[in-house]
Order: sequence, then structure tokens, then C-alpha cells
Amino acid sequence: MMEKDFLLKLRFHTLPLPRRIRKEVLREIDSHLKEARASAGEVGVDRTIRRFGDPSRLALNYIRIWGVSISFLLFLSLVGFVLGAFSSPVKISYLGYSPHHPFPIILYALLIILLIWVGYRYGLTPGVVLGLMASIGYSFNVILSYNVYGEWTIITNATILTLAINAILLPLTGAIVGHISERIWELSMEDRG
Amino acid sequence: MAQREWSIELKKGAIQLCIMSLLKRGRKYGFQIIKEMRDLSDGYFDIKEGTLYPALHRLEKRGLVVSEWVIEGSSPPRRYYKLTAKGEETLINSLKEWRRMVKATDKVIGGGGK
Repeated sequence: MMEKDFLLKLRFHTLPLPRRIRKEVLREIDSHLKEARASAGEVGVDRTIRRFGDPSRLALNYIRIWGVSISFLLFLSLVGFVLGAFSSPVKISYLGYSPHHPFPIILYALLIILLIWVGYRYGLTPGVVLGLMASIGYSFNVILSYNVYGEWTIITNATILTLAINAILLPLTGAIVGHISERIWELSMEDRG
Repeated sequence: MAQREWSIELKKGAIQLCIMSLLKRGRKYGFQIIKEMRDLSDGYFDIKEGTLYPALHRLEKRGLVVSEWVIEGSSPPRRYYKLTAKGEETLINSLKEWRRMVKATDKVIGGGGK
């Protein structure tokens, strides 16, 4: 991997980090590459880049140490809310008004995949935030269906049950995956000493 | 392959102790730590950059080291790390534990070899 390519990927993967930490990380690695160049030329830079390893994995190590930024959490909140609001699998409007509409199911599947991925990659807090905002969005769907169709839809016991299950299920999924992922990472760090 | 894995397992616990011991001798930056660790151990500890920097950040997060940027002459800006009082205390306790472990291990290995 070329230096430019490595730094570009590292910049991208460190985006979730708090701004000050990200700046320090990138500056430090840039400084190290300059030392490598001064010491052994371009061969030294190439060797050093290989020794840094995969930029995605490297960035993840920093993220697990310092956590993610507030702005990244806000971004996840927005994504979670929008996906949750439009993805109810037994959506009130889906059952009552638009039975052939496939998007809610697809979006719901996408939401679950994203939730597991975010929890696995970024840990407990981002997983819970995404799940919580998705469950709020999911519940908000009732209001949304009113706005779309101009009247309150019939709320059945099944609807309430589905809303209640998802209100618990979505944040819980993020929390469980995030917690397990953090524990695995901690154990791998303990192994490294 | 088995020998290499065995060697990695043995090194795992020692890396953090080695980093902190080097920093006890004075402030150092990443490139310098890698080089000194390799030279002092005759090449045995060739810690990779992708392992060292997250390890230093973990120590910083725990309050065991602090860092500062220094610009010296025409060299690129360097981020120097140094041990804090808490780091020194942790190092002293860790070294005691390490020596106890080595001593105990030697006794077991020695005993097993008889």
C-alpha cells in the first residue's frame, strides 16, 4: 500500500474519533513516516506502512481506546431514527394502507444489519444510541402514518406488542453486540499485554 | 509455526512492561522506542508500529504516561511520552510482580528438569 493510500484510508476510518484525538493520531503517524523516510528512504516508508497494518484495524484500536465523537453519535442517532421510522415490519400503514410496499421490510433488515455492524465495530455506546433512536423512530411511525394518511390508524394489540418488542429489542441488540464486541477487544488487548 | 506462536505468547505480557521501563529512563517518541527496544533486546523485541502506538495511547488514557509535541531543529515534530507519578508507581509494582513470576517459573522449570 502506498503512503498516500494508507493515510487516506486512515483519515477515513478515524472519522468517528473525537476531533482532537484524531488530529493527534494522524499527526503522530505522519511524523513517524517522516522519521522512517529520513532514516531509510522510501523503502523505510513502505516497510513502516506494512508494520502499521490495516488502516481500518488501526483506526478501530484508537476508537476502542478513546471512544467516538459526539457528532458521530448524532449522525448515528439521525440514521437510526430515519431507518426506524420507515422500517416497521408490521407497519400500521403497511398492513392497513400499502400492503404491497416492500420497503419497510427491506429497511428493517438493513437496520438490523447496521445495528449489529455498528455494535460490533464501535462498541456499546454507539450500538445503544443507534438502537435507541431506531426504536424511537419506530414508535414515531404511528405519528408518521397519521401525517401521511390524514387519520389515525387502528391500533391493535398486535401493533402495541410489536412496538413494545421493538422498543426493547432494538436498543438491546445494539447493547448486547456492542458489549460482546468490547469484551472480545479487551481480551485481545490483555493478551497483547 | 508452533515455535513462532509460542514466542508471541511469551512476548505478549512483556511489551507493556518494556515500554514503561524505557520511558522511566526519560521521555521518548514512538520511533525511538521501537529502535531502542530492538537494539536493547538484540532484535528480540521488534514491536510493530501498529501495536506500539495504540499501546501508548492506552497507557495515556489510563494516566500512566503523558505526551507533548516537541519541535527540534529540522526534525519532524515529535510526540514525546513520559511516565507520570502513577505510571512510575505502577511500573514498580509490575516489576516486582514480573520478578516474582520469573523466579517462580524458573523454580518450576528447574524442578521439572531434574
